[in-house]
Amino acid sequence: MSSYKIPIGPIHVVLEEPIYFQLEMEGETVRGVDIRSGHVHRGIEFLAMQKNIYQNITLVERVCSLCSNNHPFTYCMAMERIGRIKIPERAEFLRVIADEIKRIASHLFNTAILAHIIGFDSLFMLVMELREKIQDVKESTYGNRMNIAANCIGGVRYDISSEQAGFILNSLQAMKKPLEEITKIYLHNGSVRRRIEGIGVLTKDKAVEYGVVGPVARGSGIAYDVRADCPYAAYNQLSFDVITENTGDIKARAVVRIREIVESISLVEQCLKALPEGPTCLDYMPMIPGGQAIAKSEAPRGELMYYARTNGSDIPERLKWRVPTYPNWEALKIMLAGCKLADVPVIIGSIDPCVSCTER
Amino acid sequence: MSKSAVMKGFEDKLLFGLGNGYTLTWETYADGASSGWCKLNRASDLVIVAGYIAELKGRVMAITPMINEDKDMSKCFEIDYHFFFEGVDLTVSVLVPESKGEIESITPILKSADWHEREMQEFYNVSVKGHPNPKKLLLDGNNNFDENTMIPLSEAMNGSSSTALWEKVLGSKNGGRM
Repeated sequence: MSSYKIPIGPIHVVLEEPIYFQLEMEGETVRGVDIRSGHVHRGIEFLAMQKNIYQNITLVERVCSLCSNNHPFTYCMAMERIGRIKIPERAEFLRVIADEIKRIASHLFNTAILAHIIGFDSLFMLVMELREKIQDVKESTYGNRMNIAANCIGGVRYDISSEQAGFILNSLQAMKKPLEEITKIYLHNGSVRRRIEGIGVLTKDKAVEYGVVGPVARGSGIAYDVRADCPYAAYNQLSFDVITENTGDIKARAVVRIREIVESISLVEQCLKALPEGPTCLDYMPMIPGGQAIAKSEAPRGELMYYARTNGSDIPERLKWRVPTYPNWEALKIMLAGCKLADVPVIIGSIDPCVSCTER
Repeated sequence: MSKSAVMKGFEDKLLFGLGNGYTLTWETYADGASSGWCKLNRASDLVIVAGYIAELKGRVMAITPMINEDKDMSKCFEIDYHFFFEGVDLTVSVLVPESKGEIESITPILKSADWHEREMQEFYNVSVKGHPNPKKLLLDGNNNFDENTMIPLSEAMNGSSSTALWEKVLGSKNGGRM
């Protein structure tokens, strides 16, 4: 059979952001993939080394929108590690709350997008309607629906009143039943299962070899979650399960995300219950001495890592971050090999790719 | 295995493989997290360290290149490889003279180094010898247009491919007359 090439992207209805795939086809079957990126490279990493340490908190929040909280959160952790700064305990819990609220919104977005890609638009709308509840929580708590500006070096920039805590708890409670319904659809509905079961498989061995992270790794049976393996903020005081699936297919990745939403709801509830009294941040602006540190957090798409080196001046000497999607791209070559052309969009969507993060 | 046992085991491997060709310190931060910082005397030893990481089923988290100076105050590239294995973070630093500007690829040993090495090659002009796919990663301006399959985004978005919309706008302003 003769082979031919099909381009997907950089602008395509199934891609939320621009990236280009060149598929080597044999009939309807994908035999090879070439991934080409660089359409939204903005040079933010370079820019961060021209701005001062405090300006960068605002800058790194703009690397991405869906996991925007994790960037300043992890950046601040790196700076606090260099400065040997211990932040107030209340701030540790508030950081977890902000992070888990963002995770719920991000996971619901991908759950919705997968439904849209497979043409199940009523499910897409059901999930997006549910997501509005958590968007309302963000808007009422932080004053914004995407970039929530929750973090600062030495703590957080927001607090939660008892009235606000009540609203958050009620909103999360109202999400539980619809979430059960969505879980059932993803697990049992024939139309959904035919598009996601046994498709885009990444075995555990290959997941280890390619160094994938986040729900992509956990869907292939790797029980690695930064929150549990290298605890930060208040995670070591909270109880939660690291969700894993073993089949490594699209369904596994989708189910990991949906079940993680349940864990995130529980984490926010635990935090609000155990929220200690006290200040939310330091009452001074700490100077960051010379030094270097690595900080990691579990972003919605997986491990986010920041490396910072300072020299005692207010401009960082080197700042580098590695976003979770970055190591996941190459593994797409394994997931796409041998699949049908019609399955390509849903497989790409199943890694919850973030191009803005990747290209920075 | 506890983290301290993993750290000790790794130190033993380094000592056995590299002798006194390295320095290694472990740092614990105020929040209890810890990181290892290792400096190799010879950049060529990096391949040996990568082999140890692969044996432990570890991965490359990131690679951070930067311009620095060596002990003779000559300009060089400092390349920091951030590894993760069995719950442990380890940064391995090597210095490469700017005049040489070349380092052995570890992608054949650790697949997770692939994009990081391509990015380093592209952004810092450090040649990565033996990389299986050394193409540009982010800065190739012509990456879509080699086979006439793509329309540049700027053309697609600015309406230059058609005047239909503009004529419609003008038409509505002129009461339907063009």
